[in-house]
Amino acid sequence: MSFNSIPYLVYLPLVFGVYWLLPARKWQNIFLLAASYFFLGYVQPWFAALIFAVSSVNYLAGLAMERWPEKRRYILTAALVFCLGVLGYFKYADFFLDNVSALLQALGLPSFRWSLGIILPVGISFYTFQALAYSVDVYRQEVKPQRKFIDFCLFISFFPQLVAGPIERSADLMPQVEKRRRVTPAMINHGLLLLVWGFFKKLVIADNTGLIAYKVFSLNEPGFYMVWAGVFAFAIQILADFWAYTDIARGSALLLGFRLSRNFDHPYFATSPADFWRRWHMSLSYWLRDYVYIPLGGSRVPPARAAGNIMLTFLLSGLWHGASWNFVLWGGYHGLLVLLHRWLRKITSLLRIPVPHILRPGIRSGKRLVTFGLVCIGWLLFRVTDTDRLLHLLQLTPWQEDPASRGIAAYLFFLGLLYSLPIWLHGLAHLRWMRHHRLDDTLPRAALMARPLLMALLLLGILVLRSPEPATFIYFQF
Amino acid sequence: MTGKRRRILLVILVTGLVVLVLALKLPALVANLVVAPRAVLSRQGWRVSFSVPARSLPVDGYTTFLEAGRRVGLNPDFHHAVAWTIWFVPADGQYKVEFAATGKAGLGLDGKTVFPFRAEPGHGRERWLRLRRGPHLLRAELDWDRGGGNYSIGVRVPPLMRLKHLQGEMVAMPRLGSLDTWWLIMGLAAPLAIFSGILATAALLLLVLPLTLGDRPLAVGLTILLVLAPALLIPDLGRREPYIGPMVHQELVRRQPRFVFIGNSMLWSRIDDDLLSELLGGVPVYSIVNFGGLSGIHYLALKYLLIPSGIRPKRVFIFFRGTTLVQPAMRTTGPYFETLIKRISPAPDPEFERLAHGRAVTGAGGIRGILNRLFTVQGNRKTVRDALGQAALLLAVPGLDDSHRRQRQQLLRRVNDRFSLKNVGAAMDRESMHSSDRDPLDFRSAVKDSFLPAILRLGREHHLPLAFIRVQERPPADGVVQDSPEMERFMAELRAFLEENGAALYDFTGDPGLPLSMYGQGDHIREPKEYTPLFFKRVRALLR
Repeated sequence: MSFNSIPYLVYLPLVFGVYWLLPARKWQNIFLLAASYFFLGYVQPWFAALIFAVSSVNYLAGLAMERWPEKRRYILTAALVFCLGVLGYFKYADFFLDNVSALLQALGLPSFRWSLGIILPVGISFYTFQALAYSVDVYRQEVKPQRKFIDFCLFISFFPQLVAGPIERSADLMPQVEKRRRVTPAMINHGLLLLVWGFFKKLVIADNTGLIAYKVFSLNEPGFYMVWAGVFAFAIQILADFWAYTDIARGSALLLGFRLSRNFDHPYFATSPADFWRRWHMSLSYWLRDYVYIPLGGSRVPPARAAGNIMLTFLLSGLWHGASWNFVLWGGYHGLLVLLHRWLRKITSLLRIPVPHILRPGIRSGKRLVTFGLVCIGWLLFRVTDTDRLLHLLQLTPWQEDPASRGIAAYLFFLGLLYSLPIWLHGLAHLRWMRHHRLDDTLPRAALMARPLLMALLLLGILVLRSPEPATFIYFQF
Repeated sequence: MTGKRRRILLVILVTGLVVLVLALKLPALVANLVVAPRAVLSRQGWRVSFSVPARSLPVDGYTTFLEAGRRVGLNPDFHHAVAWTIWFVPADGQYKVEFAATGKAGLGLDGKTVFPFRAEPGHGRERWLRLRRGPHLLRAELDWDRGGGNYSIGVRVPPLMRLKHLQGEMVAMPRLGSLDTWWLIMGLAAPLAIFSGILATAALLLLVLPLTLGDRPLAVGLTILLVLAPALLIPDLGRREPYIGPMVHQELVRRQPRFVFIGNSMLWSRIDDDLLSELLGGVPVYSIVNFGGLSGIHYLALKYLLIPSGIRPKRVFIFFRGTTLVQPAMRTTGPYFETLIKRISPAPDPEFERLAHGRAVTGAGGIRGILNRLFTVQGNRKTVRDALGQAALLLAVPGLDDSHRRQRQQLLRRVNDRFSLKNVGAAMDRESMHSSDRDPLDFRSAVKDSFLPAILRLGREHHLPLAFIRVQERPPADGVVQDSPEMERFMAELRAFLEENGAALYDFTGDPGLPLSMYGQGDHIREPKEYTPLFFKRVRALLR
């Protein structure tokens, strides 16, 4: 079931009503688990069977690691092999076969045309990573294994964050599953705001800018300016789309008394590539940091190996997004950006160039612009899956351009900018006034009073500005 | 909040709402109660006041009567003129007004500017207006340097969209003394409505807002109410598409057509009603054109525009292209089609919802329908989206003078041209109408869930003999249009199905009388007058 569908508008109030009518936490958890499996199996019932298998294996692995601590390495390995095997089969098998076939063909050997035609189960990348993290945490003895099977299954399959995250840690979500929840009017108000803001970001910003990007990238010969106007639109689309999902997830969870972690922190206001990754898909960034980068040795190893660790982590991040070389390229590009920025920072700190105080805000803004530009180049790699076409688009120059295209690109750019204005304003307000008062935390009285007004405006926006062609969430495909 | 403050806010709220309602009704009140009773019905034209500075004795405020016609001409070497007339709008609906003048000119309606006062030589201006039935005051302001000039006002009424000039019984000269005063009063309506609306909203918010600060269950309820209030209360301001059925029924009854045509621009660019009527020896014909519409829209046109009129023509012709007759969802979504559907059907049609959107009017479709009826503000979607598009154009080409305006229009044309089908890649082309209606389909499996059985059923139930006309697509450069074997099979099955159900089919594909030179843009014919005789010749048997 998709958040941006009519069935969800019926499903959420129903779940909310029944859930709070249930007297005990135990019954609430059973009901939530059933509701979550219904949510996942709404389109394909076997999706629910798969998550049940992943949950069971990791649940048993947790208990086994506690029972036989000396064998926990093998147990963890078995759990990892199972989870990664499931992920590998459903997500990467066809990609692997295609590449083997292409390689054989390139070597002049007889190739084959096998495709398993596997349907990617919704949310598989998210819940397998969440389950893996749990098993690793139990292995590291950072958390105690969950004994209650229902509670564990609910932790893995809690419907708001099931399909596209945030990827929750057991230390954060499990205690909420185990404890009795309560909801206050303030939490409901805040949850509703997150829902309305999330729907606005998806239906108005992401779907409208997505339409611009779609049109540009469907052109046979878009030209230099048009391509970058399209990339700008896509940059907005992907942020708004994914952020919207997180907000709707957090809003829905809050109505049920759960607090999910934030996944975004105005990433287009980042001042460096590393800063971008601290603000973009934060739950994945921290997951990769804690379960890949640091176990590899992090930065406490010789510089060449540290650089290798960074590159490997980012390449994995790219591959996690999709079974296609352009995602690997995108991950590698970001790894390279982080490395270059790290080296640049080292050089500038060695040179110790004094920066006058008055210039600092300007320099910071410049850094933001440059980072945004670099991120946009990355989005082109992300958006165009065909390598030949990608190379062709990267070779376009403004000098070959027909002057009329400049006007069209400007129009598309401004159209994208106007649709995304609320996101930019939110970011600016966050920078200027709300650094310590997040929209979703404690707000000053005036802001609290403005909240219903803001929600009313957002609702009006959804009603009159939503895209004529709604699209599914981009991160559903990952 | 103190009791006194609450009472003051309540007074402001109530006063604001009363003024708002009055302000919204003000232009209609003035037109109906003040202007219309003083209309000189025998003088079907304009009352013009003008000044002629070039004469030896400058004439200022000279008033004359000009008869309304295709063009309204003013011969003296005048400098500035203001022309007034009362336009009697026959029915509630959406009207496309076209205005052209030889010099600097502007047009207003009921105190509001329709076309701003500026020079646009060689360019007519057009705009959709949603109008209520009854009298409306029109004011044209004109400025010419020398040699006189003229202006014309035309109106296009959906669905036929043929141009009608404001003349005859449509207009009458107003006799009232100073129309300027009443014009000013009418013009005050909009700012007054906005001001009182803001005032009432502010008072309402101030009355309710402080409660949301508390962490009380009541606060949640009030917040939800407050959030929903604007979305529920703001009407469909730009709802230019009330159901046009009554207008069409009236026209059908007046014309008593023997043959009715239903289609989209393929029909519009092919059949000239007047010429066909002439070829048929004066037998009246009538075309119901819904631009862009396909089988779903044709079904609604048949069901709600033709059948309720009570007119039973000898035959109803439905024009189609490719496989569109069995593709029910095609061209039924998006703001344009949403408004078109509202325009041609009085309420959501269960069959249409089921076939076009795969939803019953109960369940998810029912919820969607309820939401649509509840939040009428959604009717403003197209207006708001268009305004945003205009704002983007303004940012891309800043400047407010005429040259900038022209540049913006040019840019918009370029945008449309750049994203036209000839420039898009395979990805978009697959989803576009242009290719998908050529994709051969398995007729037997597709027809079950299409509009075709529903259309045929309507024809049978209401004794309307149906004929389906497949138009020939644009021929390739070598001039030969040939169907693929799959398409030929599809057409053979379609023909058999139609004949089984008592309907006729004529296929123009491969007709030697339709060379490439007859085509305009895409599959449209450049001149309906060229096609109509061919149609008459080929389909004569069905026109008896």
